[in-house]
Amino acid sequence: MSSVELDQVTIRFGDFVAVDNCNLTIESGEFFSFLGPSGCGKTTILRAISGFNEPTDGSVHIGSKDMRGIGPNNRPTALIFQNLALFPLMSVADNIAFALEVRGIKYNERRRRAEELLDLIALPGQGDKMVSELSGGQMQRVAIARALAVEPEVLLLDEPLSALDLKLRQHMRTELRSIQQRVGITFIYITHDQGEALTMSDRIAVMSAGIVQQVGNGSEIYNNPATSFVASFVGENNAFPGKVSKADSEFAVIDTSFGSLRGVNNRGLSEGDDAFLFIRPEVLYPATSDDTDEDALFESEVMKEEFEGSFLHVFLRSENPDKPYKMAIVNNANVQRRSTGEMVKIAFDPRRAVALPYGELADE
Amino acid sequence: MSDGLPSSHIILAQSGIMPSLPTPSEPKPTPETAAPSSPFSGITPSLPGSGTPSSITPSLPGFSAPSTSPSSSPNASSGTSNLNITITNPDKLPDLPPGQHELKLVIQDGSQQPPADTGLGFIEIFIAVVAALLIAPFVQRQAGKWSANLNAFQFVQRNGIAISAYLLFFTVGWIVFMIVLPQLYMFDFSFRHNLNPSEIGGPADTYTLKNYIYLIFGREGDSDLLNWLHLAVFTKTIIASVIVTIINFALCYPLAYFMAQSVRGSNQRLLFLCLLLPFWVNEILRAFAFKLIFADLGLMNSFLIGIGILDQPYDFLSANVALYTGLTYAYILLMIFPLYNAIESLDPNQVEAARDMGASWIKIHTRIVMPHAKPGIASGCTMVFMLTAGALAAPNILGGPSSLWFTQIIYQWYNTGGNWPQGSAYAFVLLISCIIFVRIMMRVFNVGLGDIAKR
Repeated sequence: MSSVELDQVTIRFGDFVAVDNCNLTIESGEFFSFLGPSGCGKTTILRAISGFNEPTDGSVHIGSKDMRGIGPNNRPTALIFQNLALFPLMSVADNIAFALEVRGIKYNERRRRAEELLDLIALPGQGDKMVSELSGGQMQRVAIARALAVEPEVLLLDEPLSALDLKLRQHMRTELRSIQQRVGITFIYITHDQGEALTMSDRIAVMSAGIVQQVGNGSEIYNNPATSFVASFVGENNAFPGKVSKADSEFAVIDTSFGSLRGVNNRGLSEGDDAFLFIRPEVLYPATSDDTDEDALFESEVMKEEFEGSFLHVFLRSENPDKPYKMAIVNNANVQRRSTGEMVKIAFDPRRAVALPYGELADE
Repeated sequence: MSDGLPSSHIILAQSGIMPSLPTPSEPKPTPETAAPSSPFSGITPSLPGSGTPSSITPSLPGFSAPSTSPSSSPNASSGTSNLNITITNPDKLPDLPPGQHELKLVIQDGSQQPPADTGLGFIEIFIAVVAALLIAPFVQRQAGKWSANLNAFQFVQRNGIAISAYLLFFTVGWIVFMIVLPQLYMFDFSFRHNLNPSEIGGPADTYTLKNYIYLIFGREGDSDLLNWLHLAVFTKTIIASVIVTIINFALCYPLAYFMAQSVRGSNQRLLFLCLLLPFWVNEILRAFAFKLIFADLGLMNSFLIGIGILDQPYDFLSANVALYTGLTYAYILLMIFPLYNAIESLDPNQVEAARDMGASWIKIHTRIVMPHAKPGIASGCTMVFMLTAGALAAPNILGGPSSLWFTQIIYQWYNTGGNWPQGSAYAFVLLISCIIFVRIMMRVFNVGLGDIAKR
């Protein structure tokens, strides 16, 4: 097993900086995800690890060995392509055993190994089928088996689930995770789907515009985002822009157009800074007479309501009419509906609101 | 042709005359046809050096043809509609007075019978019966579908009468009139004697296998068992065509791969233009250019002597270097484009995936790219092989003195030999052999006809 270390990796294409000074250590046996919108440089990082691109600056180490100048065929990695790139003219078994074939391993041995891998991916005895005869999910698993055939130390997955429909995608998440736990090797997973990243990964690196914004496990990233981009990209969030009027080591009070509101100050905001206060929809609730903390109360107008079953979503007027604030109320059978245009008092728990320096927001 | 006459009448009249005319040009009632009008016959005499048909003819056995200037002088008498073609061929008609050789070609007057009516021979009827028997089961099977498909009428409704007729004519009409009928006509021809016009339709006009027998066994009474010379030329032509095809593939495959997978945008267009532009120069000129390049004092020799590789000129022409180069270059586009099309449709990720799994470049090409491009490879190789085997201009111009292409023999039968049936038989043997060869190769490499048509 070996860890993957990115040491000040910068990758440029002409003037365009695809990856900017990325420092990361991915532990061996870890399920590590790169999460970010398309064009954020995550695939470029993957290709640098697999050897299809060389970093412009910095270095990639796999198992503490510098990989500069080593081609993709000589690295202990295997890449699963977004479109899988299975060989359509070969049978399933030939596909899986292709890497063994090019290493000159005898047919019988290849066949035996292919059968083993087919068992691993729960497709026993299907080796003689053609790739085109398989369903989308089966192809997925064959692609994984093909990549595992070389016994790589690091498996690289480039959004392999994006072509599947929702149900299959959710099923494949658990499948992938269980395969990873069975084989015990490092998985590096690229996705723009936060649901995939959050459910499968041990740790996640959130990327934007070539910069790694935050590395952490799912709950860290969700509950304690490091930047405004992470806060707005991972999960739904309501951003209240304003100026810090009071700050200490624990909380910061931000003057917003909805009055002064308080949130956790983990990023060292001080008085006078431009800032965002992020409050997730499930943190907001209709105020009751018990809610007396003025810094955790505001008033807004109901624009519309959407009943989803388990949740009632209430859309509240914000400064930007295209981006209303969202409040999610758990449906506990006696949830109260409101009419459009009604002014409501909203309260929240300041310990679950996050104050962050002003910065880039993710597009919806 | 003038109007007011059923067209079939004219065709019939012509078909009766054509076989026995010793000139390859069509017997149209115009004075120009009297002069030989083949493009090659115009070039041949001006060619210095070897490789021209005229210089080869004497070495061929069996060209018992008379002098190569048959004079068919059309005496289009004005006022009347009769055209008298007088054949003055002293070798073939030694003891008849010239008046007897007058052939009357009816142009306008329907009341006169065409002079020679070939009629339906045994072979035509035989072929028709066999063909009918062959397609009968198919017709029976399809009859049900066809009746259900009477909605093919929808085709007309959808496209309108004009467009439907146009489409039908240029698919069915093209195949029938441009390909099937002429080939059938030649096929029939190859089984006939080389007769004088007056004998056509007469008792001497029978079917014979002698034209084919001649190719294999040579002239009757020859000491040799087989017609070694022609068979050797035939075999050499096929082998040389295979070699040219292989060279062509070896040259084009890397280029096509590069253009399909590595070059993008304007660079790709520039490359295509570079490939296409030289083909605006016509084939004959290009062949002569190659001849100049490879001549004793040509560019290639000057260059090689200049850099010290050779100390005296090397005869590229007799060594057939010029011929192979010219033939390879002549059909290079027909190889590149099918290859390019086939390789272009390959997902680049497949190549990367194979690379990622440790495949060498050779493995990537033999296991991933070539299997994917197989239909294109088959299509390109088939076209290059067929056209090379059937090439005439390049062998004529670039061939060394000892080299003879099978097509040149065919050309001589038609042109200098004046024996059209013999030429037809040779041409048919070449055509059928090439088709059989290609089909065998397709079977060996497991390619279907449909795969080729896809590209």
